[in-house]
Amino acid sequence: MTHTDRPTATSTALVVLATLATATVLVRAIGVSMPATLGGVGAVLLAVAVWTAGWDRYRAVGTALSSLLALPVGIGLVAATIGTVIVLAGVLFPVPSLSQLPATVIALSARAMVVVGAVAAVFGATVAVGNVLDRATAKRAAASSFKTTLLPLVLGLVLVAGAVLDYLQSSRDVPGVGAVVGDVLRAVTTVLFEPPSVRPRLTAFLVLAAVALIVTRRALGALPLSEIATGTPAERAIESVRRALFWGSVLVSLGIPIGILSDFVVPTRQLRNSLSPALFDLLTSLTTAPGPRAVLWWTIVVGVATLLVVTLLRRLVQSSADRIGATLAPFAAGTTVVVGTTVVADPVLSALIDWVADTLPGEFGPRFRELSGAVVEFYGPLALVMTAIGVVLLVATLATTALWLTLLTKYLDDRTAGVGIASAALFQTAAFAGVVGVSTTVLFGSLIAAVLVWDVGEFGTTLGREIGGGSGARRTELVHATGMLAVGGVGATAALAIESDSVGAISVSGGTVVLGLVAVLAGLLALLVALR
Amino acid sequence: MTERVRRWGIAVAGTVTLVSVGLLAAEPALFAGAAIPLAYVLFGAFARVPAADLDAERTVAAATPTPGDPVEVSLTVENTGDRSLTDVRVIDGIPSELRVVEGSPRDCGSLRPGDSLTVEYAVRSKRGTYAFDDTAVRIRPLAATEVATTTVEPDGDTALTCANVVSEVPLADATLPRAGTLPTDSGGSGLEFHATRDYQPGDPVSRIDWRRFAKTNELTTVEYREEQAVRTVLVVDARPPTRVTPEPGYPTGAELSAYAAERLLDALSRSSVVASLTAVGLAEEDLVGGLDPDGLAWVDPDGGAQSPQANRLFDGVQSAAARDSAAADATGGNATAGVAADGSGVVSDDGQVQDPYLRRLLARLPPTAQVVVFSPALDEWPVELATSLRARSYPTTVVSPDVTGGEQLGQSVAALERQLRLESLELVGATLIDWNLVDPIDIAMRASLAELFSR
Repeated sequence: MTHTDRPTATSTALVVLATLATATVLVRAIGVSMPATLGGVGAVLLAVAVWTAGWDRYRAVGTALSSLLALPVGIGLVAATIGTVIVLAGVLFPVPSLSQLPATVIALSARAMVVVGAVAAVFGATVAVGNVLDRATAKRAAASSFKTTLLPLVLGLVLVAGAVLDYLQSSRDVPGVGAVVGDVLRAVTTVLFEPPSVRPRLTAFLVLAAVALIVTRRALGALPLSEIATGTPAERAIESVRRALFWGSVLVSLGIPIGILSDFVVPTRQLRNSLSPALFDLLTSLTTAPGPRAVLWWTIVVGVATLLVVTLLRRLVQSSADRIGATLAPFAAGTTVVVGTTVVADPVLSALIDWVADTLPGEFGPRFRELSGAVVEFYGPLALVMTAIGVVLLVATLATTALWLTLLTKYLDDRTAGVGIASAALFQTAAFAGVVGVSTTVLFGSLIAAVLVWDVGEFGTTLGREIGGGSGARRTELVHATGMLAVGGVGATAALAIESDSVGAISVSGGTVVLGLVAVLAGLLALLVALR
Repeated sequence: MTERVRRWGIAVAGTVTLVSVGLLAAEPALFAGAAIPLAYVLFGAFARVPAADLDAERTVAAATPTPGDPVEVSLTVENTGDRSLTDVRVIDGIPSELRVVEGSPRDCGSLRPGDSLTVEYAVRSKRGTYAFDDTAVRIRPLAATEVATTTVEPDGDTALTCANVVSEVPLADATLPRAGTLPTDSGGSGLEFHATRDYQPGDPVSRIDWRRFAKTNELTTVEYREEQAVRTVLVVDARPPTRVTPEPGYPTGAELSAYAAERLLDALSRSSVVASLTAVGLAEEDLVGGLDPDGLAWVDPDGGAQSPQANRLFDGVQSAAARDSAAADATGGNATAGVAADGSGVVSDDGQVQDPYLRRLLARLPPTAQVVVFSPALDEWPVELATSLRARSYPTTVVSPDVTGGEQLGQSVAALERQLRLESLELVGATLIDWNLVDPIDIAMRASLAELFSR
């Protein structure tokens, strides 16, 4: 984000005020204040998360804040959507007769869309303050939100899957997960570490030996031995050791096919006969003894650990603390969320179930309580809440990712992304509020506000870029805003005239009227194209 | 130049949405509401930039500022036409070399006929004359769907001239007892009495003390304090490490050094001192006519700072500094960017002079000269130079503009290092004049002149 794209203070204030006022009026007309308020808070927090994700100077702190905000953002978004639907279902249902069901469903969806639109508008207006939303910040916010989501979601799904598997094990006569895993592990360890000493086991032994040699060579190369060792003899010695290890690993690898041949193709007796019995016994005791195999195994483990530590240290040394912090912060936030969820899972779940059961209409409430009780008993509260938190975080991730993708498509310009979202969302809110049937004054007022938010916001951003908010800027902006408000007034007057005249015309159900209106629409579009 | 701005896409989409939803949901209010965004679209489509008639006048407050001083500029744009302009945006055409330090050269306003708009700002002055460009003006109609961009040529001041040399003599109280000469402690021919000694055959007859011969009948010879004609060599340190500024827009260390040298050269030429001038660290392309074969820019100017050779050299320093600061702007560097360079390797352990600048300079210096070095002392080079000069018994004065004054951590470190260097300069026996940029340069000049001729 460049600071030259910062919109002027006056236009920002006008955009925020107009958006908040319009969204509040429309949502109040619908009558779902609680989920809408939560959604609004979530929208503001989402804007803050986008802002903090864009901090360049304190990137670690910004990323940490952005990650921590993912949870309240998700809660706000879920409240604004699912919460609204639940609350509205409590108010609108049950319907007296089945024939009213479609209309009620439409009314419910339209009202829910009003809340969603209002929340989106609040987000757009908040983000327009300082113009913090652009492709880079949206991408960073989406990334940190995604990383935060990973741990709780995976943990929740693992817990749920564990519960399901437990159930399968107890209810049917199938071996449990533990038993299956144990069997597999036992088979692997037997083949690798303690094969029965009845015949040579060359394949596994040679594979272990080859891997151990390769890993040792790599570890020697990775360690800063040549930097520590002073003098040519030491360097030469290290080099010769590495060369020996390389040729050793090549030789051992070449032996593997012979091992496969002797282990799996040639029968024991034939092998014993072809080799002398003494050699056979020696080979058998050497390749099946647990001691050498354990030594090889631990060499591999230590070598891989050394390689990992050296690589990690190299990375850490090369990057700044802020960068490391920014990389780790989302995972730390995810861990915090997991710990917090573990602590408060029980009370939160019971409170949530009580609220939903009390809100749902009629007999849905007790039935939901009954059903949820069984589910909780089956999965356990922790698994459920952890999964729910994971899903909530996923919602926040999806929202930020959708933002980023929208910005990528360039339907929204980086420069005016905030006001664009606010204005479009207000249009949508007003349209759905119109479907639900708010008063004409409120409807026309919100439509004017929707256009003005865009106009004033875009004007202010251009002015901020060209002039940078001087003393004369405020006056110019107010002159512009007043003029455009007057244009809106003219439009509203025309709308009122059309509405009062057209009520009769539109309510006539006949193909000709609709056809005429479509013709009018086509004419308008043609006019617009011609004007451009 | 007039162009259309498509800024009503969202209203067009809104119109179409409202009409469609209104038809689908059979809501007359929604259908009618489409008139509102449509009104905006139509208003925007028919809006045109009004014919404008603008006059502008620019005033530059200081006539001849000192380099580094902020100069206030005021620009007034008046609507002399008979139509109101709701949105006039003005950007004054500042010379690209100058930096705005206060206020903004941009403003906007709504101008009724006869109304005017005043833009006030201050730029940091630099040596030389800088012409302002025309003022850019942008006019939009109320709907802001069309933009007309034009330029207006302002009346009044059209250039900022920053004079280096003031007309009055700034160094009135710097006493110069022997212009162009250096009194020595050895006896010989001269004006001031030094000693008497026994006559030796071959002494000039005019120097025999005849009175004494008359009294005592012994021949004695009078010796006077021997005087050497000396040259004063001004060395301007303009190597890349010195081309940093304490804050954006301020002259760099190299420019300040050149400025101080110019002032001193002027004062010296008024006092009839023979002075040479050299700048160290210039590239071939910086100097008109190129460098001398040994890679130094050396001039023996006749007529002091006004002489064309001297001016050519000072311009060279300025163009080098401008080239460097442009590069630093591109990489986002600031005052501390070049400071870290240390002078290791200037002189090798066995006393051999390694640095090419230093070697050439020492080779070029006349045997009897006093040297004044102008350097911001941002690396070890001036210390090595002063050490080498003192080792060859050149009287050395170092004038050091302080460009490390700043709040940042890097600048504090640079200031500490510079302080240490100044101390070592004094330890090797150089006379030090630390020019704090808050003080006028004349104070530093006075001090340096007094030091120069009090030996």
